[in-house]
Amino acid sequence: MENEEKPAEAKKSEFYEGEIPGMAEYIDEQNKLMASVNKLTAAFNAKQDKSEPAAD
Amino acid sequence: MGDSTSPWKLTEAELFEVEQSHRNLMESQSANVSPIRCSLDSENLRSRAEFIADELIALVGHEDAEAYFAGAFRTAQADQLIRLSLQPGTTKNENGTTYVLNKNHRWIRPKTPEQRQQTSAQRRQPSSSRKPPGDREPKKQRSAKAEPRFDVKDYKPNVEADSNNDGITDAARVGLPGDVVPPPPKKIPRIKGLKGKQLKAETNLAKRWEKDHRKMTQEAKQLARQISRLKDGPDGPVTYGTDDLKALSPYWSSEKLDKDPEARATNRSTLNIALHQTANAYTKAAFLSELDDLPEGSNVLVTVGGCGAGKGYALKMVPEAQKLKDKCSVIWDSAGDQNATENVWIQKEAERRGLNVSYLFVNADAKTQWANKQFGVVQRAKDLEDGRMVGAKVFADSYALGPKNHQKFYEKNKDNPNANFMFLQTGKEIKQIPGIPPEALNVDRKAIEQFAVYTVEEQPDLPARIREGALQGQEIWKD
Repeated sequence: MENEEKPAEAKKSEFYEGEIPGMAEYIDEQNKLMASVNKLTAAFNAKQDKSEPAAD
Repeated sequence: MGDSTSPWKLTEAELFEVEQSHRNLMESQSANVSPIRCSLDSENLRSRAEFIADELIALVGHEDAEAYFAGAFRTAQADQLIRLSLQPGTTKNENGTTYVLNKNHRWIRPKTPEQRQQTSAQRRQPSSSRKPPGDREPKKQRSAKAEPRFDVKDYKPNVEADSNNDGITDAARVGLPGDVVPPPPKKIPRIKGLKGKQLKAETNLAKRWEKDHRKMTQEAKQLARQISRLKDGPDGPVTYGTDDLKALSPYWSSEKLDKDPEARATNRSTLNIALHQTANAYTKAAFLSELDDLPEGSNVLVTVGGCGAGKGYALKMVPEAQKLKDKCSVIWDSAGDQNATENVWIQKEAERRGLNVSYLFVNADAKTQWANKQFGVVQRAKDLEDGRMVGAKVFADSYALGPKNHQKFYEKNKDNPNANFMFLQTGKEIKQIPGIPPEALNVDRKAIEQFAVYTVEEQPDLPARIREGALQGQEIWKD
């Protein structure tokens, strides 16, 4: 019974499905920034204690 | 054996003399004395020294700190020289207390005959004659501060509990209770139910913190400053965010993962919950350390809102919000995951230091922020540079409980001269609003969770890592 109710409740598309002007550029800018942050944090971790076990 | 002169009462000139007179002695004895062993590597030691220096500078300023540090270093050096020149067993009196030099050339307080007898009797006592646990005398009560209010081995808070009836819930599913900055507790509260790689990643980061929490706090502070410099320039504010500083885990960021963005995104989608506990602990501690560095009267900005509410975009798009950012020195970018439970703690810590806090609450529609095909959290998790995915339950809580908590905090502090409030609406239209809309205070977390789960399950082409990240909480938490 509960399983039947879930989709019915969730199917109500009461959310905004459109795009926001300027958002695409913002996301692109953020991704470029994240790429730089990723490089920075990777280099930062490499300088830290080398005895820490490496992650998978 | 006789009393030795207390080295830390010598004048600077005498200390030089001590150094000079013991140099040859130390060299001649160096083959016969046990060196003071240190299990810490040089980088660790350097980090500790930097931490102490940093605290000292904050306390007394650069010039005095330098003088204190140099003096203390010289005194310690002289003390070491004296100790090395003496034979183990030598005693000295200091403020009426007798110390004895042990075989590692460290001054210790010897045990009294009664203490020695007691220890030896305890050692001799056979295990069968010991009292069963129920018959033992109760342990001495610890202070209220030291007493954890939760089980560190099985951290599963009731997300709706409000133990002090202030209208603000105590804790979220992940992270630490709003007002807790460990230690205490000495251990990071573990989320029970994590398995495989999740458990490994949680344990790896938690154990690093438990081994040396000061070092991790210092690293978090350094990394937050470096990331902030990259994002906002050398004159911009320093931002502290639990999600940003998950990067201290090699599961989140490493040179190896930087060469394999797909693997990095997989980790960030599936280990977000596992790393949150420890990251929240050191981020809070590093934030407090940063507040310690601020001059009285400085401004702090706290950004609040549900997971993926678009706080960054709103800040950029609303000029009034940007002005708030421009005049602040430090930002607490609260994770939506914490359901705005940290506000009371931040305000208290800021006021203790004579700082002003501005709270920027970003209101958004939960369903839109989850499922929108341009900027929803499911869509954004597809970006390999980011890749972070939030769990459906944590997401739903952040939109149902976060606004209620923030509203209560606002009502109690709207007349507080050290607290300012701004509210923004995101989504279709981004604008400043007078307060949290009534409908945002009546969000059903179960309905949002159901919607989030359904929209993920109905997308067969969704990357497995995103599905796993969205749904892993369903197995961990049953409420």
